[in-house]
Amino acid sequence: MKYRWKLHPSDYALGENEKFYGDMEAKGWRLVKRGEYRSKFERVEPSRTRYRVEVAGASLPDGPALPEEQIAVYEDCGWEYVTSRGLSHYFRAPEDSDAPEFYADPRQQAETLKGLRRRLLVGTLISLGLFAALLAMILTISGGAVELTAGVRRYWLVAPGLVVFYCLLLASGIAADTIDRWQIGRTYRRLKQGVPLDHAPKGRGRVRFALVHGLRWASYLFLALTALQLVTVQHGPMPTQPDGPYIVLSDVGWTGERTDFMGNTSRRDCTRTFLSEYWDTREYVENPGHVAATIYQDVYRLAPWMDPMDWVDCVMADRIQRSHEYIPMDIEGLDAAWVVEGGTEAVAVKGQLMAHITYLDGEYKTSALQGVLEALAGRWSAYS
Amino acid sequence: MPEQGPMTEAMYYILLALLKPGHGYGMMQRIRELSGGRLVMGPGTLYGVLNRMNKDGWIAFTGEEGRRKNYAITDAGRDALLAEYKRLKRLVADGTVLEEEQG
Repeated sequence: MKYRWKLHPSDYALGENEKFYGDMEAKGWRLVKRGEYRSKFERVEPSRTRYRVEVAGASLPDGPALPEEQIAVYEDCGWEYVTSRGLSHYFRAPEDSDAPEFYADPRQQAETLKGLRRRLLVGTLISLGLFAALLAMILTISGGAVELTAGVRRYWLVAPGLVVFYCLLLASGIAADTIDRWQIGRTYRRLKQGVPLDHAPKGRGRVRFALVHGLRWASYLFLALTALQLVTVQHGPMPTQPDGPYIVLSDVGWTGERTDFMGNTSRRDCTRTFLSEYWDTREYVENPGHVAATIYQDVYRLAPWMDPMDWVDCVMADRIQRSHEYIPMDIEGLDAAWVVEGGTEAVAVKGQLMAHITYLDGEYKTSALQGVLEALAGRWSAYS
Repeated sequence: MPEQGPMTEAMYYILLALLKPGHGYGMMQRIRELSGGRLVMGPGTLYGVLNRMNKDGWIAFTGEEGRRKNYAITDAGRDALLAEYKRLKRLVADGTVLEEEQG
């Protein structure tokens, strides 16, 4: 037996589904099973067949199932029970059979849609609830709306595909929900007004199909691009001499052994997108008899059309000491620089280069940060 | 028993059909006969109305034949049907003025 799967209209587009399955059977593909997004068809001789959908009430004791007795009555009338998905149950009968339509009075059919409308509403509320909880959690973790926005912007610089993926997926969900809500509401209101269900609507459903599936597939494409980017990230141990626009601790006088810190080893990752080249380093050095020094660096080389000064804010928002403010510092060889006075962090800009450095030497002096920035300016002179 | 307003055509004919106990499909055939072929009741309409009248106590479940359930009209259903019949008769009687007017 030959089978095929095909994307079907939404559960909430009743007439569109009836027409879709009728059209498929006319082309020699008979409905076997309805999945979440796609339906399974088997190869048969083409025939003109009416398909009709009946919506279960979703109330106990039958839940989403149609009562056996109801199916028996429909079958006695000449309808064949085919399959179901959720609350929707599909029947078919040959086009020329005298199987009567399910409802002579559209108002009565309208009543059967209440469960489906309720289910859509509950689904929307659950999604909104989960989204709100997730947002609240992220806001708490990130420290507030400003920090969250800054975090998203930093992601945009180093993994724009991931940000686009989330946005497209969210847009696809919102589009599907909005269109489904509009469609089932419209069908319900028309039935309530006594207008029979259109069993062969023309053209409708294509917009939803193109929009929802288009956005979803586009999101998968960007997820795949992000995966590709992840695969191409250059992971490696921290080199003795920098191989990019960053510094090593020996540049600021730490000549001791590289060491581990809380299970982390010194390393350097490098990735590239159409927006930036990005180096992410962490280095730990221990001098005998001295406190260990640590340096973390996020260094970006932005695309030529971008102005690093537009992105300084979001880089600064990534600071450890949130109660401290950045203050400007003049450093020769840098376009602009800021330090957290008496703190551990500094931000620098030169040309298309931008860095956020966290430097921990156990003393936390502004002069030490100045030394770090001067070393960076020296390193960056080779990149101007 | 719920306060009785005018019945829908479907309710009226289903109660009429159930003067003889029967199952869903049998009722549909009987309704077609009773209405002289004028009324072809859909299975969805039939099932919805049966459910509601069963809850209202106008009909009662009497047994099963395979997946089919048999129903019969109850005394309350018979009273409601009779009341509706009388109401309809009154409506028709009141309408005779129309015939007089048309000569």
